[in-house]
Amino acid sequence: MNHASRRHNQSTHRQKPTTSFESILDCELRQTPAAPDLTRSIMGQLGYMRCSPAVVRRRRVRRWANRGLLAAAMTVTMLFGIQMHNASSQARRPLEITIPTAVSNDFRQHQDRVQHVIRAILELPARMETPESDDDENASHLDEEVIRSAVAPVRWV
Amino acid sequence: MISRSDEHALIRRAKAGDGEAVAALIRAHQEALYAFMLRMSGRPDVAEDIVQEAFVRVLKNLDRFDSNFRFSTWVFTIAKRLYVNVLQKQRPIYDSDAVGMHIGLGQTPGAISADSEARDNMRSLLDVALEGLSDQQREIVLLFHQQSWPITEIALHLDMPEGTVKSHLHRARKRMKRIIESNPVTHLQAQEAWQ
Repeated sequence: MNHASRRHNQSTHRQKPTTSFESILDCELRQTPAAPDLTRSIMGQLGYMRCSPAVVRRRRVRRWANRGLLAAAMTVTMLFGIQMHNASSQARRPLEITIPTAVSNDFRQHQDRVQHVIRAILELPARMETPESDDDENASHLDEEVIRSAVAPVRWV
Repeated sequence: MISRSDEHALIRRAKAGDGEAVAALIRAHQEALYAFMLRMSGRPDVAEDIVQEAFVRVLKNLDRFDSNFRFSTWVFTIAKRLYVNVLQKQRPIYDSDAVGMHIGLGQTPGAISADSEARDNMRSLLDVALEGLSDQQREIVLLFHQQSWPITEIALHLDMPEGTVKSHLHRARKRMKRIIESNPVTHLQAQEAWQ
């Protein structure tokens, strides 16, 4: 076999490994891994795995039922968790005086104070009138006393 | 492995919508393609996705199949393009443990012995060495040593001269040896394994 034909043979056909490293590569790399069988999923994607309408309906119902069950299970778990948390000693409880009650108390106090001020203002003119009348009464009383007292020692003619 | 005439007959039947022929084509090539993609990507999940997508694309476009080429060449080309797309999005991190585990799954518990331990060592050495190659070098090494493709077919597949494929292969092997020998522990293991 001449050189050219040998080279052609090496190119078109798989040549034998010449070194131990090459034979190891051949031996080790040719071990096929445990490949998953993808035939069904590929056929399904290509539309070869068509089912009857009854099977499709049954699967749809089962799918929705599974979703419903999952949602219900999640809700129950959450509620249980909340209950457990509330029952535990580490649970944070709200103070007795909350912000709304503090605000309403403050508002009520302000209301009382304002009412008190208003009442005081309304009562104010009545108080101012009474001393005046008192003064007149006092004045007339004083006049009478003056006249009476003046009668005794000095009598005006 | 199915013959070329059988493959063409299966393709004709698959084109006509024969589900059994489609299944036969998938079964005939999925293991080889999965093994190749697993070694290329180093990730079982990525390999599985690419194999699935490659078959779906190929079988949807069977009308465009050129009977001058082998079906496997076409599927591998599509799978490689998909892998390049994956690389452009995000390079999968090579998981040597996952690859080793997948390849070692075929062993029965009874087969575990000193010999199998040596083989495991060898396999992990090769995983490390393969990881150190460029994507093109790794592809050539795998097509030649794992898939047993002749140089001409690899050259056609990669659209490069045969001489270039040969020099890539030679450099890749040298680099793999250098990677193995650069580590004193792996060097000793390799020397034992190569004896």
